[in-house]
Amino acid sequence: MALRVLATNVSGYAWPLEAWERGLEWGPDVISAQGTTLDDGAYLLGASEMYTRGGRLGFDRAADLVLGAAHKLRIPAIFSAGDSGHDVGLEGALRVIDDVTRRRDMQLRLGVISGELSKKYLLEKLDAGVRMPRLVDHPALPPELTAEDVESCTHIVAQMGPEPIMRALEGGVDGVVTGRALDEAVHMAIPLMRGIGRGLACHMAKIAETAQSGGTWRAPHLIEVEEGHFTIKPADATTRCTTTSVASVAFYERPDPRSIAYPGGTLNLAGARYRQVDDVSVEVSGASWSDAPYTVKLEGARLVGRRFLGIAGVRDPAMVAGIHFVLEAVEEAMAKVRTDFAGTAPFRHSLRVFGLNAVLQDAEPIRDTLGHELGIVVDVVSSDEDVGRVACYRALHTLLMCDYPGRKSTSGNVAWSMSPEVIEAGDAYEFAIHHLLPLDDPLEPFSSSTVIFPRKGAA
Amino acid sequence: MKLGELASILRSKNAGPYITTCDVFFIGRDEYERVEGSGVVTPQKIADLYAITVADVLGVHFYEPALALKVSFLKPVDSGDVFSPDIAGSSQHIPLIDVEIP
Repeated sequence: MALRVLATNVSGYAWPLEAWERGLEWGPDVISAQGTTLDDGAYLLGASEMYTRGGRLGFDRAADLVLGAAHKLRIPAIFSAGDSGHDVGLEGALRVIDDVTRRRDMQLRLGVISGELSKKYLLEKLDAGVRMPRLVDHPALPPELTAEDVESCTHIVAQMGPEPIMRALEGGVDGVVTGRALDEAVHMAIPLMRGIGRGLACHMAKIAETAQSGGTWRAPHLIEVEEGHFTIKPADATTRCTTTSVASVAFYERPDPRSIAYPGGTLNLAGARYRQVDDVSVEVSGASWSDAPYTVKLEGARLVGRRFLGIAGVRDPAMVAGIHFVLEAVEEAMAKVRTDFAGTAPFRHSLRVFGLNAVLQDAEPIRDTLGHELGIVVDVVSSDEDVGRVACYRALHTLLMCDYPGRKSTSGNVAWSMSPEVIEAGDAYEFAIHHLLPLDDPLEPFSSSTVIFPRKGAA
Repeated sequence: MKLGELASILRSKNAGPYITTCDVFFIGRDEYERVEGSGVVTPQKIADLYAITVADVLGVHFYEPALALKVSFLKPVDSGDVFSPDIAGSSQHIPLIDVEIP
């Protein structure tokens, strides 16, 4: 019998409510949704904050709709949550679930699975001789994970596969909430439990997760999985799925269109087939799965320092034309900070010149600006707040007062529009770990519990 | 014609924090075949466009089932760097738009 999956996203995006209701009327067997990401950079993972991205309200809206519907329809809800999916973020999500269940006066028994790994666990792996290679041969990553990398991070998570979710579901729960998980894992768990083949389940899950978050599509989507194929259509009556739109999401955010590496194997898409079955639906088949040793992706972030920003607007035509002289003057000023305050902590700085090359940098094909106005973002990071602040101020002051060919504006070159002009922008983090952990048991690093919501004593 | 004129979708995104991947979906089979047949889009061409080495170009894939072209390369500045210019990698397709296709 066909399995009906209502796939959505709980990252705090707005969905059209009419689409959601159409999705529920369709009669889904499960609601599954992605809610963790690394797309927003290292801060989400590095900082010990419960809410980043869309914040508490954004997740509350999504969790309220998903859990309310799952409870009413008596079907499981499966989603990852907590932005980066570390334990602090997961706890933030659980507090929202406390609020939602209390507000709706309902009780839910949920499997809760952590995606965060302790340093001790990884250090013991390293001590035991387990080698963890980097996932991508990028010079910013050490070729193999070291104890030093592990120690340097504030948080380390792993993208769990579907197995820990399946185990939690076997325990007889109303749904499962995970921390960091492979996006596909939340959509794959029930199809795999129903005996759907791994290639088909994974292909369906890949399309399900992307359809919710990327491309020109809007969540949610309705996916009917049968033996050998699945059919997808949007819940939103104003959009449609086409063979191109579905094929395109199959390899969204992946480097190779024909194969995608996953925990325990590779999804082969070379034989994938996409067929338009009506105006809005596409039938998908033909993917296959090849087994490989089981690995999960580790992600870790570490603190670099405190970030200070300044924003300067350039409108004087002579300064726009002479911007390269100005940028050199700022470099000289930064060198002078290093000599004036020799012996203090180092700092790093960056000037992004919007209107010139801020977005593409060295790949920008247009060498000279075509615009009449430039926006300069001064960005300084240092482990010493005083050093960061003075460097940012001097960069801004140099923009204000430096000389350049044809300068007549001797009372100031740029417009500042923030007070204070040096903006303290919080802690700055960088990724330090993007490595593969081999596992004999896909469940091993992920602690799981069954929790009744609202939790006792939760306020 | 320019590549951008032959495409219905031309986009970029992270394939993880260390790789940029650009997807080009062509208007139709003629456009797909024209670009594939031109031999213009090569790893060397991508290296030149993005000011990177050819070794950092991970793949130039023509994918017939979607009438698409996918280009992936290592990021010069990764998305986890404190000064990443494009954390989600969503604006890195721009240099492809003006590639001249005979």
